Amino acid sequence: MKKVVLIEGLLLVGVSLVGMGEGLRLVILKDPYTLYDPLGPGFYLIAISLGLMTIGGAHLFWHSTSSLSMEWSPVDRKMKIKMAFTVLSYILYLFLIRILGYPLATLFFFILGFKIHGVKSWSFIVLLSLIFSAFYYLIFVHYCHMVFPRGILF
Amino acid sequence: MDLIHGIIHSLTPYNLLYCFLGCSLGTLVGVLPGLGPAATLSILLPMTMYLDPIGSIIMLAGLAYGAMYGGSTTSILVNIPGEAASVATSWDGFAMTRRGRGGKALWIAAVGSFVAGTISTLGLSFIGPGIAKYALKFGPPEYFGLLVLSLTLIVSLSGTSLMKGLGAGLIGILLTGIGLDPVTGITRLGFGVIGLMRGLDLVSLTIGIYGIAEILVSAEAGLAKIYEGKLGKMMPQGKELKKGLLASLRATGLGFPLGLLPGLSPIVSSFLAYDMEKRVSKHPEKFGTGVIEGVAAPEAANNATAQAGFVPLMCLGIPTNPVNAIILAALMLYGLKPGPVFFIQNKEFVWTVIGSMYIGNVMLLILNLPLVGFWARVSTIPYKYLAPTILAICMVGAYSSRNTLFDVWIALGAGFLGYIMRKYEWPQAPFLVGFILGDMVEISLRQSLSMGGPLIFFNRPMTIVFLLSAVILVFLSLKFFRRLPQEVLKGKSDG
Repeated sequence: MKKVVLIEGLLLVGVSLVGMGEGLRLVILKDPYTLYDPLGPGFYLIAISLGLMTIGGAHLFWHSTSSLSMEWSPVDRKMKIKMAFTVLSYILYLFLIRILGYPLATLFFFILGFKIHGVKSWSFIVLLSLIFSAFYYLIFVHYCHMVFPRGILF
Repeated sequence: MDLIHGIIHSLTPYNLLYCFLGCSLGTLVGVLPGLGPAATLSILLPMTMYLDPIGSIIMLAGLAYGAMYGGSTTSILVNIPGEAASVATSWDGFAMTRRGRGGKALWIAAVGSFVAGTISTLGLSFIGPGIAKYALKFGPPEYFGLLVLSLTLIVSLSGTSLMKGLGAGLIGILLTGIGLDPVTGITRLGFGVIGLMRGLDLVSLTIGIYGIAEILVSAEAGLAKIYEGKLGKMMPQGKELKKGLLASLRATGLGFPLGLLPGLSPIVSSFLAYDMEKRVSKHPEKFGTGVIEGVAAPEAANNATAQAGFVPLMCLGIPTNPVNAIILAALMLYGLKPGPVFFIQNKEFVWTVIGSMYIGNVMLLILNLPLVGFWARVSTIPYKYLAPTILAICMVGAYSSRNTLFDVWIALGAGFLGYIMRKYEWPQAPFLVGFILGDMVEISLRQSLSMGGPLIFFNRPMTIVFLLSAVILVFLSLKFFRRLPQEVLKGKSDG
């Protein structure tokens, strides 16, 4: 059996087990004072999870015997690193919003983002980042009155 | 006569200005991923209290249907649906952009939206009050049947592996179980996490699965531009134009009656229209690879449904979707009570708002068509500049619908999931279809069973028709897919 198919099938079965466990919990620990409902809060989850478990099992059985082709072009190491840095910069952005607030965190995110994606000149990066973060601030905060975290430092 | 008076009244400078503001804002909201019309309407609602009632309702209505026009732009150009109703548009729209036909996709989306919007407004003016009463005969069992019919779309969107498609669809449905139980109010699949108790947000999930995943895949592939070659002609010609316009008309015919039914949003009608178009096409195997009908149909359907939603809102006081619910709230804040006597008691108000819809549709066409080139040129901007700006908009989009960073984390997680799905050829579309329809399926199923047990589905003729159609469609899809080559199926599942 192919390793990928095994992992995929097990993941499907795993997710269905979580759903089924939650469904059973809701059925067993059902509050007697809740409204009568034939599918209750739990039975619906159990039904969907059973379906998913069947699909997981069928996936394991079917694709372990069939010749499912899964070819993807080899990825350049540099590009992999770029993708990883994109994710990391986004995670950092979400942390920075809580600390520095929306405008400053966005400015840092743009500086980092443009650098990661290959803009060379630092002065151009800073200029672009300033313009974009000011524009976003104007649109979303000033005009749309969206309330973003102000940051714990300010 | 009332309609003519309404159109004349809506042509006053102030009403025109409000209409223009609403349409422009709607287009902008549609273009920005995640910042949906419901969120914007709720932000604008307190501000409109300072305006006169007719002007503010004209503006809010313009925003609601304008967002349907604008929602297609980012779907087509960057594969990020500005609206959940534009998810189906992205399947062929983005494929067209990649093949150098983004201009044509944007053109047919704008014209299809105009056709649907105008025909639906005509429907609202002439037949709306008469046919709205039939919507009341549509109970939970009929909804369930119709939703099951919509879910058969998962089969045709499964790509290379039906098992993967069904698995993704079921996971999508299971994820709708997170949060409060819609009937009893008990927390499900919350695991003690406060954020999960509110359930997962459709906007953040859509942004993640499509938007963030697309950026990650493109970053890894070292994409320099979204589209490298020429954009090609804007206006489709000859047979292609005919195909696009006919698809728009068919989708309008489907989307308008669906818009009259409470609970059926433009999202559902766009999926159904796409599926219907694929089934009537002589070359269904080409869908997903960039065919004009695949763009025209969902765009026309979502506009027709959005516009038709004003019929039950005005005639019965029933909001069919969240956007209309906010407009209903605005009407009530002004002391107006939509219902059967609304057309008689507030004649001038109703017909002026309806009149403004005709003008708004023309405005939107003017706003969108000359600007098609502008939006299309966005796709030639180097990706190194676009990627961070799109990611920052994704953050705002995911955050805006519920004002919580938790949803942005969910979007990031969904983005990573979308990336993995793309890598291992798991179709994203069935996952999203399952998540979008799952909630409605559960509610209609449980309400139906509470009404009369499982036998209720066999006592309702319309439900039987819907369920039988679903079985036949699944059977036909399976038969058809067996004959398709693997390369075509791969293209389909890419969405």
